[in-house]
Amino acid sequence: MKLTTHAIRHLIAPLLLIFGVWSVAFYFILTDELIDEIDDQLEVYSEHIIRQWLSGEELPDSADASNNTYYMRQITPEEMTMERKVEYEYKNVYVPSRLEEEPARVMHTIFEHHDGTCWKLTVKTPVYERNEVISTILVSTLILLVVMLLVVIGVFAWVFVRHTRPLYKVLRYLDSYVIGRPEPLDNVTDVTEFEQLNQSVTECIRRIEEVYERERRFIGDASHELQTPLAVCQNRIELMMDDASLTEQQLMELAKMQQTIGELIRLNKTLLFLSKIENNQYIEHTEVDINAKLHRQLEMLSEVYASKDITISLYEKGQWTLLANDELMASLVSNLLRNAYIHSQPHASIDIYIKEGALSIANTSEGAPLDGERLFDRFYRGHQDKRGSNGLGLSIVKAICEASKLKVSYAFEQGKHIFMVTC
Amino acid sequence: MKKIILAIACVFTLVTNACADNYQPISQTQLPEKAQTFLATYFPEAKISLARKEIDVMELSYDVIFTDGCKVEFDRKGNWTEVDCLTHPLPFGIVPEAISKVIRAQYPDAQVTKIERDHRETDVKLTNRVELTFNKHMQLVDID
Repeated sequence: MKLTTHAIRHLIAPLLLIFGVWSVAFYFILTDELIDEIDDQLEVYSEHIIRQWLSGEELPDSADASNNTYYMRQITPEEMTMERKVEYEYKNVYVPSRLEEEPARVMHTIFEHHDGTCWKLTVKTPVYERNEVISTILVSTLILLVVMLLVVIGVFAWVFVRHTRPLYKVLRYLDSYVIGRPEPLDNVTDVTEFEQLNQSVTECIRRIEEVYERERRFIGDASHELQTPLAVCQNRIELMMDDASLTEQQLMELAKMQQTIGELIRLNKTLLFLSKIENNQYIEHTEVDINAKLHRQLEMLSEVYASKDITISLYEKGQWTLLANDELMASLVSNLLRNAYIHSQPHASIDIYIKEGALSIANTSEGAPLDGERLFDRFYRGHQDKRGSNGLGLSIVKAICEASKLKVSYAFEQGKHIFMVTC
Repeated sequence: MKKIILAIACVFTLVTNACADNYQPISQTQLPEKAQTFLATYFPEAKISLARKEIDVMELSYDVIFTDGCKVEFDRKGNWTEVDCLTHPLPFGIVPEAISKVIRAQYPDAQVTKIERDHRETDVKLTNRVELTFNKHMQLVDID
């Protein structure tokens, strides 16, 4: 879940509670105030009548322009003790000016006259619009609640999204980071935390780059330094083999040694080649015809691996030429094909598809899919050790692709290992 | 959920209590002592027609209507806030001396029928329908 969604989810519950309680309170206060206002009017009106009457002045008409009506009747002292002296109620009363019954608020007041008699005054005021007003209050309170909630959440979301922008920028930056090719992090922010994050990320990447660079240089230097001693070693063995006094047995041992040193030299050369690719020493770019490279390499390799009797199916769906280093492209095609040859059983088949912008080489397999993650690592050899493989072929392919801005991918479909190079 | 219901219930009771603005009839003995003394002093003969307690949001007040139409209002502590005798003059002694001095000087024939006070001002109505307003230092500030 995104951070914003998460925060909003946690915001809704307390907001709903606060606004909800607030709305309920608001609704009750308003409706109560409405009734209160009516009661206050009735109170003033009844007090006026009582005092006028007690002081012996003339009473107003029983129904005046305000539609308020009143009547007074004498009650017995027993009634007086039984009933509440001040009482409010709702009642339907007949309103003469409208010729029909209307809801009204009624107030009863019981008071004593100076001659000792008890009287009950009843005043009434019609409340035609009361229900409409109350339902209007209810509806507007609800609308207010919803609108407030939406507005607050909207504002919050907007503010939140705006303020977390640098975070997402850092995340995108880290996602797109490729080791060996650092790009400057452009993430201007005033927020201390994000500034700190920027610094940490930049510092972290600087250290990774440093370590990576040191490792690369070490491999390059080591293989370079190994070249001469290995060559000297090979020469000495050759010289030794010229000695006529050696027995057949000794000569055979020396030949095996020679062979092992040869392998060692090849391995060293490959490592040097890898480090040269990674150091971007192949900068010369020309138009390279991949189809032509493919034909030439096939010709060579089919001779080398003739003993395996492998069927090659070449499907040329188009011509692929691209601007790249000639030597690297030759090595790329050669390594992919060699890989397919080496890892094929005798009498198996290899399918090659080529079209503009894509080359795929598939060899049938007796085993399970390979670990796509580690496949391109140096010296990764799957499960078994195949002769003629030094475990560097695919890492060369990977390095060439990275240096030439191509993509290489591995898939396992219908019992076939498929390597695909695309631009 | 329990908390929410509790909170709503609390608010509800608070609101309904706060808004229970109405009049409760009471007997004379339920008035504050100070008010009872006041009534005994200035209206010893008068008979009470109706005595009520008014509960408002923030304050409590009492009012008493006599059978002759006079009305007296008291605050929470029993101090009078209004005495209104319609057309009759008020009993002697209710109107503060400083005010009655001013009235005697300016309107020698008139008498006070109604006096109303709060913490800022005192309003006085005379038999000749003149209304006077005094500030809290008993100085005349307005004539209507």
